[in-house]
Amino acid sequence: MTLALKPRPMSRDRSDPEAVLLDRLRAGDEMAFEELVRQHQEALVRFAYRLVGDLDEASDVAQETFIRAYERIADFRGGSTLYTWLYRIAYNRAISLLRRRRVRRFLRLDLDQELSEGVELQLVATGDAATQVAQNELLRHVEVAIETLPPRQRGIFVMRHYEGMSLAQIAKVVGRSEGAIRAGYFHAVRKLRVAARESGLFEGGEES
Amino acid sequence: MNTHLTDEELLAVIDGMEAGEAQQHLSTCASCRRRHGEFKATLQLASRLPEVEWTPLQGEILVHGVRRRLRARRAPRRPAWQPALGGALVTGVLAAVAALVLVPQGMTPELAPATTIVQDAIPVVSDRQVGGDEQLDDAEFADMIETYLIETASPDELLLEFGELSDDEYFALLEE
Repeated sequence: MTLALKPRPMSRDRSDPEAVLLDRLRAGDEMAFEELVRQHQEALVRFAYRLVGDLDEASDVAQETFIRAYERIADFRGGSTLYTWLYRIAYNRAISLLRRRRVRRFLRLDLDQELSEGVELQLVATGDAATQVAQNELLRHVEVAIETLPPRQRGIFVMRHYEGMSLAQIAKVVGRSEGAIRAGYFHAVRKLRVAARESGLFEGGEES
Repeated sequence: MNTHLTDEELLAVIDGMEAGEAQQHLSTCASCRRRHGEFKATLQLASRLPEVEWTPLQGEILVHGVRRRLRARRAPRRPAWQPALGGALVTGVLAAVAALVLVPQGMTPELAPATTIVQDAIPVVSDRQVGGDEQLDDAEFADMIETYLIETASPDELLLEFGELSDDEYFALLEE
């Protein structure tokens, strides 16, 4: 008697909390969805805030991200972690918001006004008041430079610099090659350096 | 290495992705060292930008917001014409009842002014309400154009409109 060798279906690792959560999400378990929201909300809001620069809008991006995840959980194939998948949704929503904002700026020419409404800079006191003012001024320049990066570059810079994500992770989120992400990151940092130079951060030497 | 390091090489050094030859060059080239220092200082400055404060209360508000939005999306959506039709029917029924009650003795209900019912059911819109006399200020005008562009133009048209590249074009350039 010969035994037919049939491929066994891949068994899910029951000890992996994410796999268990994913099963519950796919089964429509609302408590599981709330767990997902509670687990990832802070990270997503912080990420979105770095991208859009406004807490209300960042919170909105995060909420819409979760709603979309809930609606599209059946489409999640498990090729990445849930965390990466959520980042991808949030990234796309934030980029779309930034693009809309650019359209608005183009039409209203209100760039200066929006930038003046940025967050208050909070630096640790490192000397006299004049130094403090100068430092705040420098930070402001860098902040403005980050705000004015093109949406995709800004997204890549935020993920690399603030989220500490590897180029490979960013490539997964954005759905592009590592080489493209590396180039995008370099472009962004180069622009920030030019902005820092123009703000007088570096004295002497030639622009190169 | 005699030539100066490229920006990419300098950033790779800062990122810890480049070692050896580039590091050696840095130790002997003041110009590259200066540029390396500038990149490093820029990134350090960027790191000092404040983080957003996120409290447990804000977290609860967000969870509540997600629940509310989810409920709203799950609620069966009635087509836009349904409320109007409902209103018209209610108005029609009320008018019919009123006609029956108020119709003069001896007058048959058939003779009641049926047109009243029809007129009540159709909202009358004046020229003024449709915007005949409205004057848009600049901000409202910009809003209108923006809404028009965002709602009617495809993403590609929008990118073209504002001189940007599509995602595919952009990343293809970076990959070159």
